[in-house]
Amino acid sequence: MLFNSYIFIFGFLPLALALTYLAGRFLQPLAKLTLTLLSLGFYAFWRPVHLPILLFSIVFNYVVGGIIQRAYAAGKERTVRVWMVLGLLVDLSMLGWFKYANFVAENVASLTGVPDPLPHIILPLAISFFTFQKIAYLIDSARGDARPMSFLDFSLFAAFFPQLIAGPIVHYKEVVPQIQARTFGRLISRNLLVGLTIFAIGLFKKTVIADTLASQANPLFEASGAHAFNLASGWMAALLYTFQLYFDFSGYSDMAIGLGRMFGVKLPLNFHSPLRAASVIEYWRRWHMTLQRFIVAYIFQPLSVPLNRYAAEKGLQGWGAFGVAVAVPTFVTFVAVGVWHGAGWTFVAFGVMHAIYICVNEAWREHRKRVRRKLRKQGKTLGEPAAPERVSYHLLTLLGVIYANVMFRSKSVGDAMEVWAGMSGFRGLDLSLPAALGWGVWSALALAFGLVFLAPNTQQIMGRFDPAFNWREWKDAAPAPIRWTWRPDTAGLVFAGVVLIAGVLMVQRGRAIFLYFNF
Amino acid sequence: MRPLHAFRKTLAILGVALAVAVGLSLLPENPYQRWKLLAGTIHARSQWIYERSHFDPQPVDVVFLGPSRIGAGVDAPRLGAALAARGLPSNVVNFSLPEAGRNINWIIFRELMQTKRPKLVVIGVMEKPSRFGHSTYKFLAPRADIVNPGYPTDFNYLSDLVYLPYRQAELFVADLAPGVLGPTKTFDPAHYRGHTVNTTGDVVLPGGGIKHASYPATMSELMRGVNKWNAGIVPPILPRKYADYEFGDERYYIRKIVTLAHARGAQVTFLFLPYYTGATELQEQDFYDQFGPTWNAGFVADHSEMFADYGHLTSPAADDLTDWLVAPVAEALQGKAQPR
Repeated sequence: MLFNSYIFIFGFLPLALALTYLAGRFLQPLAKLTLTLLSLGFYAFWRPVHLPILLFSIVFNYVVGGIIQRAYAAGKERTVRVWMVLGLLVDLSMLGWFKYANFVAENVASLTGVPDPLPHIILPLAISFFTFQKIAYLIDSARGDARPMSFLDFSLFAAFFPQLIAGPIVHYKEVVPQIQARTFGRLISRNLLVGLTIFAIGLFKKTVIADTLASQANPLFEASGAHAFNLASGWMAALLYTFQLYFDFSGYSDMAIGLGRMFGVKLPLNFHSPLRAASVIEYWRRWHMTLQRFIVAYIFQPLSVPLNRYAAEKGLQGWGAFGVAVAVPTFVTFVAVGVWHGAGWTFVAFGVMHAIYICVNEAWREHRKRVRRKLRKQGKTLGEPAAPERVSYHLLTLLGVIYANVMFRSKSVGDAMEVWAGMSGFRGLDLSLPAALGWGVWSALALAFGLVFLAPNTQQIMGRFDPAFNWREWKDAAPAPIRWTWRPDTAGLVFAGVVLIAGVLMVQRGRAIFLYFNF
Repeated sequence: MRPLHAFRKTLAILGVALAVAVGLSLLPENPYQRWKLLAGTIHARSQWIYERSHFDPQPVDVVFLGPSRIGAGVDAPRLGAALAARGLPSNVVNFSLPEAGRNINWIIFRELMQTKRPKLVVIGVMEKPSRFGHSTYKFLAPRADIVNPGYPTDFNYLSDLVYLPYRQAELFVADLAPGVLGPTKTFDPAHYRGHTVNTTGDVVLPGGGIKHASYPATMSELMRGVNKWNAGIVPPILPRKYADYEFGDERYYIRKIVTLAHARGAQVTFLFLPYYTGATELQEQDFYDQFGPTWNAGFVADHSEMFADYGHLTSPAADDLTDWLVAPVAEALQGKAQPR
């Protein structure tokens, strides 16, 4: 079921709110059971045949997590390690089979000439998201960060529909204490008001902005095999898709956060104006934040720490140390990020591109550190970058992101290179655009540009109402040139109502799937 | 600290949203632009239907309504020529649209009847009627018909209703800037398709592809389509006495079409075209019998060579069927007894 569908907005959501809060009036566990069953129904609505996979994942990880937690409490480190590895193997094998088996088999077949033996495996909805959530739970259990809980609480944590399909990828400590709180299941009107407003903004971002951009970007990319991109059409396609991807996924994340809030659960932020970042490292801290922290915590750091130790033991210095301690874990991490998005060479290339960006960024930071040290020795200080330099950082970051997004969107590496050739002027300096792109493309781009670079993001708009689990960590970061916060006064209520109905009405243009549902 | 009154304010947001939706629904529109909303879709013929009804003074003597089977099966110009050869009224139009749903046939027929006085109305029927209204109803029906479809079991009611504000806003903007922010609102004779249009044969799809209909489908293609169609058939769920509710769309709008036709002196006949290997008996035969005879072309059901896909005739088969229709249509126009 899509958040941007009438069956959800007018059917499932009001029903889920009514039943959960009605049940909560009598008994909190009944509210949890109701919401869990509704969440499973929400998942099954798409493809019921895949529900057993989710159910298996819930039961298996609950059992294994429980064993790990008990072993941790008893100080049995070896048992903890054995069960964690077993749990991770099963989770990753399941993800690997459904997501990557076809890709591997196809490539092996093309290399060896042996026919591909596998039938087409249909990817279960959200498997990348719910598997990562379970992996985080097992590791949290092994680190003593997750405590034993009832099967009902775990099921709700694992199946809670606002975050089930496309995140945010949540940790035990973020959600479980909230669903175990005494207030869970009780109707708190403030949560409804704030949640509805955040949901409305997210819906608007998706149906009004992202879908408009998609209607312009898709024909350009779909026709990429049929025509050569020139300078204008290449940039137009790349810009449109970059903005589409941002508004699509951040809109979805806002909706998820708003829905969670309606049920009394604050979910963590997933976006914080990443396109305004002044470096790629900062970009990744603010783009798909819950995936990024997962990758950093469970892939980058476990690799980086021993490699740093190894570099120190070997006495490596300079670029050698940089290569071992930074470049290697960065490449592994970002190839994993790329491949997590999908089984395909474009995603691998996307990951490699960002790994290169990050390495360049880290090298630049290292260079500035050295300059700073050198100047300090001379009794001088390295000043903050001047405005032109800061602008150049922003532009360079955006440029890198846009080029990588072309790879992310294209059907093949060859298609991406066609777009890049156009963007880079290798097809001449032709500035003509396809006739099908009407005036609407400029207004859509202008709106997207204004919102991305000038306007506050959703959590900044809702900043008075503690809009997300980790809002306090981010409330001072990346302030927008235009500062505006929502208030529940007449203007604020009209704003929310208009944004809500605009989002609802634009669903009519076609319930385009969220881009991240593919992952 | 002032109380938040959050629940009241949540309701206020929903109230504002509702008020905006109602306000948008009441915006003025140009009906011609409404009938152009389906340009670029498989239902683009709606524009010609409106133009034929309102901008072409040529009378309409025989009108065919119904789903795509009727469109693919009845060659209106060929039928008109045959009637003309017999010295009979020969202005025949095929106003069928792809997909089932009787409500759209009513909207089309009522539009036609604003300006024309057909002598014969032929309604295409299927072995089992759809329970649902037509997918284009929300695009083409006037707002009053969407707000109040007139019968209680319109299963598409909410989805049609919720589309209304968006449609009216779109039409309002199009009315303000025709040709820029929406379709034009002036009739262009240069692009008019003519008094009658042959709806049989190859179909040009919105993406530019062609659905061929000049030769029969292979047996495997036919059976794939037939199996899919059969799998989608849901037999009546409620007892027959509740058929007016379960099949409200079919029954309510057939009655409305018949009532209006009879009020304007037109005869009503039903035409049944089966799908390949499909049943040749009609679930609603008793119901149709109250209003007029049924011309049952069940004889095509076993002829795979006549089908371009599971349910639509090839153009040669459509010629044969059209020729078969000449006699009953001629007799109907002459007021003679009609075959069943």
